[in-house]
Amino acid sequence: MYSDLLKVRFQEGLRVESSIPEEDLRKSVIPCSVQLLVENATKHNAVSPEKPLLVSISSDGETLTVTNNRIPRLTPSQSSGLGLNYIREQYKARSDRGIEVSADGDNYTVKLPLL
Amino acid sequence: MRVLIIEDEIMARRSLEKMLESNFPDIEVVAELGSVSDAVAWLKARPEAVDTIFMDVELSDGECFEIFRQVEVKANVVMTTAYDNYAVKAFEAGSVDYLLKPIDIVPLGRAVERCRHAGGGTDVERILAALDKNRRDKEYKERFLVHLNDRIVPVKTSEVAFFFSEDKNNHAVTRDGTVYIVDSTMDSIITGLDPECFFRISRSCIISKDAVESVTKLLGGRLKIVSKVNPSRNIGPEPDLTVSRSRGDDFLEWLEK
Repeated sequence: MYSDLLKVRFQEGLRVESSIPEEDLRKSVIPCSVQLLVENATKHNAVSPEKPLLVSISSDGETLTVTNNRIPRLTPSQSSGLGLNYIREQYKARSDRGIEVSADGDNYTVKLPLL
Repeated sequence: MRVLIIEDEIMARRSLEKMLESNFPDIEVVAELGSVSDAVAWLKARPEAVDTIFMDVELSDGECFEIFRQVEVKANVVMTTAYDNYAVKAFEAGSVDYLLKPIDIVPLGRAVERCRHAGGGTDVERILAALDKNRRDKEYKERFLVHLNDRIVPVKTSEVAFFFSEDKNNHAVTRDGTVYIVDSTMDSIITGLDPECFFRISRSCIISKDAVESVTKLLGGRLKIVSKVNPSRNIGPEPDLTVSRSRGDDFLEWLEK
């Protein structure tokens, strides 16, 4: 899996946890969307073994939720917004439900409708 | 020679350590750190502990240049970088040497030799100046292609008073008050603009310094800009010129520059 490659890179700095019920595994999301979100999380946070980045992926039959703790960087990463826009636009074309992005001080969360 | 490795990627760190210790018997890797904050704390506590620092540009919590701003670095610095070609040029000016990753033994040997003969100490001022210059020399967009009704119009960036988004559309307003539609996202617009001239006051608005007439303080402490330019279209989108709370201080600082 792609996250295994990221773990080779970040080692103890990154944890990816997913708990998705059997029946939701038969549903789908836009290709590569979860991978993009995990990669975004590692791009925009200070990933280190001392303060690991935890990405958790869960679902409830309707939506897939990808959430991570926020660890601010001293120098923010350049953001083109391309990745998130790609997902947003793909959902516009494929579904009447859109994605939801939310952030508070501690966590950053993206909800993807299951198709 | 006592060496400190500052590198956030564990694999790269290990491979550099191995290369140094197996090829240069007199080199001792004293410590390995991965973040700006760890490096600053370590160097503050031990200002004389190493002779040479191999320093990656992109660290886990930011760029390594931040280290020079926060602590006086006495050791020779060799920067290592995987991608930034601009930076490479900049380091030629100031850091003792630069290495492109993946690091090859030949340039590594050259860097080690240079450090042995360097008088000690990196000209940090020169690195920072070179970087600032580098930033200034970055190419910004001269013009934006915008839409007015069914026409596509090239508009000079210097003519734009502000960019704002409303109802999924992004607009550019020129100094004469004309409102155009822009295809790009706000995020991509801002990357093409000179940060000295334009500031993103909120998610939905980027303003040119020249367009700021005055600033008023709203109840609750937020700032609202009074612009020299008013969009001429009576009916239609109006930009919200309120500065986001979190950007207020940065905005005032920018306005002074």
